[in-house]
Amino acid sequence: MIKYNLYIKKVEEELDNIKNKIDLNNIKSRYIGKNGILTNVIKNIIKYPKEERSIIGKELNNIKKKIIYLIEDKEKYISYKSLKEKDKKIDITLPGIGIKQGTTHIITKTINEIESFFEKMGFYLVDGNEIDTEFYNFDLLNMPKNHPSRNMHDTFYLNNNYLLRTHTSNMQIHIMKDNVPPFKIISSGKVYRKDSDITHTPMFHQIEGFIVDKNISLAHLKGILINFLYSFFGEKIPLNLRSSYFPFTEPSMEIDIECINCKGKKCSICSYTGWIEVLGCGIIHPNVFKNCNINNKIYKGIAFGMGIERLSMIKYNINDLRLYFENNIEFLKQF
Amino acid sequence: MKFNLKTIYKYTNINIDIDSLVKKLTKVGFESYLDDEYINISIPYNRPDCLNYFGIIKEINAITSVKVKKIIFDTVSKIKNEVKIKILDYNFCPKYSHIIIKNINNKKCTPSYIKKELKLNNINLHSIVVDIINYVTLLTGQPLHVYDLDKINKSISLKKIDVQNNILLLNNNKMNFNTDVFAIFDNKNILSIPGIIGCDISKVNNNTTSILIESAYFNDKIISNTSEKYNLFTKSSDIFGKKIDITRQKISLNLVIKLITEMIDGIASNIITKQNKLFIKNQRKIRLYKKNIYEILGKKIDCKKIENIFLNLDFKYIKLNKFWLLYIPFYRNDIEIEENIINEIIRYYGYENIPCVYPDIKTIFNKNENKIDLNYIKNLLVNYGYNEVINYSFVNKNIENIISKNKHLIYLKNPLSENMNVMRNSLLQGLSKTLQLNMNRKHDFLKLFEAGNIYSNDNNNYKEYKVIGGICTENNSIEYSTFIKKNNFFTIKNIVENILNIIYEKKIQIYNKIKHNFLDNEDSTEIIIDKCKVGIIGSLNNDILNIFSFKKKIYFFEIYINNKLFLKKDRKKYKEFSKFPHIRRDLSIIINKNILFRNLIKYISELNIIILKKIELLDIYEKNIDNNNKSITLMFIFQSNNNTLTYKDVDDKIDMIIKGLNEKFNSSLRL
Repeated sequence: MIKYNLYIKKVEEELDNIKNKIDLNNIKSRYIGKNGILTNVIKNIIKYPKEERSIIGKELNNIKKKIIYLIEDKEKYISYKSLKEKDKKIDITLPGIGIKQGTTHIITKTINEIESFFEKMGFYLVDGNEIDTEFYNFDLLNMPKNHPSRNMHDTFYLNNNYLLRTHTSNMQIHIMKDNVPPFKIISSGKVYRKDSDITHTPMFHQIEGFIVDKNISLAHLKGILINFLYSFFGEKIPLNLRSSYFPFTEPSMEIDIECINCKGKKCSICSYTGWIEVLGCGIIHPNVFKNCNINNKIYKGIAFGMGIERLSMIKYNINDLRLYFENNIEFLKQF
Repeated sequence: MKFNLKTIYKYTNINIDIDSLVKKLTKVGFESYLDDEYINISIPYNRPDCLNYFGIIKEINAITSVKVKKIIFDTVSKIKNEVKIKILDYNFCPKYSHIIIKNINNKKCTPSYIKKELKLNNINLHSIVVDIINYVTLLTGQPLHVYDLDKINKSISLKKIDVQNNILLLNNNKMNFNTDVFAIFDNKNILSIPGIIGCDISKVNNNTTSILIESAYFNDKIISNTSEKYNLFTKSSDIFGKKIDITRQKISLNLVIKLITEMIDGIASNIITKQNKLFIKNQRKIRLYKKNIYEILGKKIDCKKIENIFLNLDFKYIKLNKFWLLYIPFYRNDIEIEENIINEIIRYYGYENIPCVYPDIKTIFNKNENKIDLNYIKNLLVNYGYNEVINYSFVNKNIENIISKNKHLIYLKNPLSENMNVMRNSLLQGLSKTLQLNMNRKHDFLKLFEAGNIYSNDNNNYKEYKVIGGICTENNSIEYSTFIKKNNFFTIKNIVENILNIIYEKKIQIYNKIKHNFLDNEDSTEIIIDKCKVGIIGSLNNDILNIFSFKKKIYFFEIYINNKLFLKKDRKKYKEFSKFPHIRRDLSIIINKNILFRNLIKYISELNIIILKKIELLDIYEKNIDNNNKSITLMFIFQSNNNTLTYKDVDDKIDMIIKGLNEKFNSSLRL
């Protein structure tokens, strides 16, 4: 019996002297492989008298288990060791390998921020068309025939009838003319005005929303927009509400926010007024309803529009409008 | 418009400090700011009545609730007004007043305060008489016209021109007028085109001693139409075109008399007025229902407060049970409907006094569900390392013509510049210019994309299509950091295919090599789904590289996403997948170089092996193979939905494929 126990000691000794998997496998097959020493001993168990067989058999099995255990243990140790050794060779401060992420344009980001607020409020997102007729862009919006914004100086014309929309409000008309109220719509996109200087680009972006429903009033308009502005700027910024004039809304108001730069103390950014205009809105003019065959006695409409560039300039501290369409990668990569 | 503070204080009783006046004016819709001794007020388009001192003073009085200072000028007539006027069309001219003044000295200098005021509002200086009447117009908003009395016959009439007439105007231009234009005649000549411009013949000069001054109301529409038709725009036509107050003719003349007699002597006559009494009687009346105020503003406002606003605005009213009947002053031509009055109420009541209320959020069935999510596509490109740019939709015509040969472009009638005179027909020009700009600034590895519209003219039908496109340099990045060192046709194709899978339901994509205007013939393709072109991929050809002076290979792609027919329509539904293990087999074959991969795959799929779930290309190479052939390694995945496959099941199918390929393409196995 004792001589069999020696196998354990031998295996232990041999295992102590090896460092790699190949040697380990050699030991493994030498002792417990198909023709291994211990395997052969077990095979030859028949040589023993019947009464001893079961005792010796048990004993040999225990020895085998023990050896398997020792080998597995060593195996774990070796693979752990080799892993550790591999790790040692890595300079983990080298840069990662792969594609560096790109960016979306700040206008896309701003539009998404705004749209997601209104979508949560139950507004339905639509696309408007950029090429439209004078009829849709001006006439149906109650813009007087001699309104200055209609002339060739301010509006891009394609021919005598078609033009590039000067505001996203044309979308309102298309929706109202082709559908039945109630409506709760938000739409954004490019608009065009023939203007090009430090504070104007001939193309810019607007977002516009409107609700047509029974029992809708200026109080709702205020509720939606003030909460939107708080949400967009992330704080309860002071607001200034003032009367304004738009041909397509009556009454009309504009909302100023306190200048983020000077906190109302007056600076060059707010042209020394302490306020920055961000939004125009109002009750949809009865003439617009009439033009779209909506009964002014049953329905009321509220509408609002804002400039994306202006909002993002304020929020992200961008001081030059021309950066938006110059597309310098140094600018683009910042957002 | 710039107003002199001194003049404002002269005609009002207000005593508030100027800062609060500016604030209050801004609040009620007149954005204002201080500029030295002037106050600059932007007058809204609908309030031309405030484009003069008397108008803005009325508004200031209303803001400050100050009682109006009565402006009266007593004048005594010393001579008889001997000029008779005959008006033949009271629709065009419902009111006409005039005076004559004799013995004036028109050689004197205009007082500096008047000069200053006129200059401030960009009104040219003339002789003192003309300067005075222009100054009075600035004060009252009433355009006036002065004639040299000695140059005209004493009886004048207002009627349409009877024969076509070439007239020398006081601005020295000769103009041919048709018979549809109104004119003031004496018995010989045309003296003026009333409301627009005077004629040379009756013009005053420094030697003039006797004058006739006209103060009338002319129909706004007729004046604007005439101005437009003859392209003849004057200060006077501008004011008349915006409608004036029909009650200010007399007071304006009195003011003129006062100033002229004070400054340059003169003896004035009585004022003669001819008018259509009906017009005056027709004061506009509007009903304002109490319930409508609440419906629009969302707040019940105390009746006393509302009536107080009427009082401040000088609106006379009769109060009835459910509504007020309001008499609108003649100078408030902007007030036509009930909503206009509600606007007046909220203007003075203050928007800050309206509560904030949330509208009910009604459930709207999510119709947005099946729209293509452009943001999703944009994010995909961002993850491929692309930066989004936004370019102007108008581009240079010459370059666009090269890019979009044989296509009908949309030209701008009044472009801003040569570089922006046509609507883009592809994103290429804008993206190339942006790439060029950044490459000039030493940015060598660039991947840019843009999503926007392109435009085309289909038989005078102006159309816009939504597209997404990208451009990139051949080198991807510095050598170390990217596993794909170079962009090529296939890396771009991978991106485009992924995007197309987001947009379109159908997966049948046919690639056609094409002769293209701006892409290289060798590595470019158009992509077709159901006979419809949905995109292009390729490297830019030499013509385009030269235009933008690109020295490297540039890849471009464009995907059209406006084709509603092919967009994903149905909501995705879960499909049961096989729970049995799959078996993989790799196969390397040697096959003729000219056989397209597409045909190979098509043939295998037409063998209709149901358990063949997927074929993928593992490797392809031509080195160490004889000249006519290439080696292709394919991976086959077999899986059954019903049972675990045996090796035999799979081996049979693989044999079938090998045999098939051998027969069809004369391919051989590579061992």
